[in-house]
Amino acid sequence: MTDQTPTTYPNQSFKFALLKGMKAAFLGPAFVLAGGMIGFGAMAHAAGMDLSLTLGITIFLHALPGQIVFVEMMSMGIAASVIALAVCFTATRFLTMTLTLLPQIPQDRYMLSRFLSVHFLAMSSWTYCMRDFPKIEAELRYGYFVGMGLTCWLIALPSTAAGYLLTGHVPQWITYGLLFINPLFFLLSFTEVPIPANRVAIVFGGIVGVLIHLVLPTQSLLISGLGVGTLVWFIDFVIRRRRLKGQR
Amino acid sequence: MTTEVFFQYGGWWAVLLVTAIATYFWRGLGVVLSGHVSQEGEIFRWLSAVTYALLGALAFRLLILPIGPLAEVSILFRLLACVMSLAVMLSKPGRLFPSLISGCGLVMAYGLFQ
Repeated sequence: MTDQTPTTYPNQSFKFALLKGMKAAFLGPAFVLAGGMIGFGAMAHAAGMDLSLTLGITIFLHALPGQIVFVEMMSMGIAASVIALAVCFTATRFLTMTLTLLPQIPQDRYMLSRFLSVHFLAMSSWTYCMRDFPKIEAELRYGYFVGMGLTCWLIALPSTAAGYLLTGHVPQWITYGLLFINPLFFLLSFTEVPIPANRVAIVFGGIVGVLIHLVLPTQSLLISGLGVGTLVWFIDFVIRRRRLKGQR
Repeated sequence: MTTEVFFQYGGWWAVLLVTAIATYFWRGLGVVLSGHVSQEGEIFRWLSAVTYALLGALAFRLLILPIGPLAEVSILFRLLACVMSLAVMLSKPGRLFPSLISGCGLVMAYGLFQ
């Protein structure tokens, strides 16, 4: 995929791209992420989690769906290994994200920093990088990506703290709004999922998840995720097979 | 189970350590595999279907059967907020922020005028 031979970057252009990425972060993804992290902080406070662990989760997971799964399942008293498995599944999307984004950045000598930089990747910064990369010179993309990701990561921490500390000190009606941010954000982002099979998985996973929750609240996430997800994938697989045969 | 024993002694920070490694695993794997695999394979399709079903279950449950303060907001208002927010979102591309604000605003208004 990389059409560029290894290039030696002049430091100047990396710095330039870094600043450009940071600036772009403030025009979009940083706000989206800050809102989500404020909501996460509020949720963690409502779930009775202590501040240091809440901030630790934001720093080391830096993935909102996983963070929320963690807090929600923990507040329900679910076994730690089940929580770990569920969080692990929500993080699989990072593989798709890195696999689509990284080939657009020329391979270079910054291999170690590349391993570091993917920790800062979030859905919001990924969306913006995917949108902006075609308009950016290939050798500037890495700096842009790092600048944007780093800014988002740095903003996540104070946002989480703000959400956590605000909850309990603001009137209850504001708390409602803070707690509503993330579930609503997920719902809205579902409208942008391109693959039909995944859209079916969302809707059926959601319905089955709610139904299972009424009977088996501690297992509902994993059962509906694995069960419905696998079923939808299998049906989609069979349909695609049939279609291929029909073409022949 | 040995993992449960580990978590019992390590507490929630141990759970965070394991989940952080699991989350980073997928990011790091992307760096390693980048340019070497196609993401059209069946494993990728299966993983993304499972992820989306799980996220769907999470979002629907948080909205319909929330635990904590949000449960005090009437379900009708929560659903109304979702519908209104989705309508704003779908009315024109790139309206994430206004739709978030309108949905959260309605839920806050419920709390304020309750």
